[in-house]
Amino acid sequence: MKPFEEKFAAWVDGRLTGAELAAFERELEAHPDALAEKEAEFEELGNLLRAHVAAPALRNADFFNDQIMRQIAPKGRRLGEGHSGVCLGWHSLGRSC
Amino acid sequence: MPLEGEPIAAPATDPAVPEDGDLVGRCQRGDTAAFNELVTRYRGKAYAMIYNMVHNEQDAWDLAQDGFLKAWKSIGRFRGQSSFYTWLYRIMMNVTIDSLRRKQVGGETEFDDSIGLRNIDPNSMTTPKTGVLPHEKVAGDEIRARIDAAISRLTPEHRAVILMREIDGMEYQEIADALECSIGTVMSRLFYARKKMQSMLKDVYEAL
Repeated sequence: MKPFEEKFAAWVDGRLTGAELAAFERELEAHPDALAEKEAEFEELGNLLRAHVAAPALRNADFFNDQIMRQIAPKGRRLGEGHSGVCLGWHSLGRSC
Repeated sequence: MPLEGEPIAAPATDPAVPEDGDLVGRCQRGDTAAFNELVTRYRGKAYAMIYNMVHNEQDAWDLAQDGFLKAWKSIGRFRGQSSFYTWLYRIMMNVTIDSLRRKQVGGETEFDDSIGLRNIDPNSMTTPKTGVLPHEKVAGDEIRARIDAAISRLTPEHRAVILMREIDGMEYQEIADALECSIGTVMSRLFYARKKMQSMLKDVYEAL
């Protein structure tokens, strides 16, 4: 195994520390082609992930916002449970707001 | 990453659509309606990012809520040194990683990144059956399940970097900013995660 590859493997596994780590990262910076070569080794993996990893759409998006707005509304003016909620309660007792 | 069709940033060319910076300024003056607009703008992307980390819709929904609430509480300290989305992304990622770590400590999840294919339940629908299952029959949802299972075996930090790089297409510097670590750390974590993922999924992508 070439020294670079040995060091690269050690770096990936988190086995380089201190001055050795700093020196290797400077080496990587100075030789972007070496890094690009390593990147290319994982191209198929990247393609696979990009083709198949997808998140579902957020459900109940409006409710999502509403929940946040309820939490952050200034005290005494909580959305959906302030004036109108109280009125509903009073109306149910036959009183007006 | 597929989203729900929401813009990821305010179009700068449309004067009727406020830019993120304007909305942030209004938020900093206590305008909750401006924050509502930012939530609408970024909820799909934030949710998708979290979902890909946790693989559970309800958990992703709850964590995205937590993330936005934390963002609201902290928005007074946002100084615009990065884009609003980069700042929000950092908050969302921290919330998600913290949650995954808590589950790990609580024993709900095991991040055994030393797992090899031999450790997968032989009766599992997602088991690699080299030489048994015709590769042509490997359905898309089965591939997705294999990928999810492999991602679940990574630590939160390794999950984060591989998703940010391979799915979100972020540059090393952006990832480093979001995770508040060095570029070197991002790169070494990324290659480590790739190596582990490759060992778990090699049969899948070789069959395609």
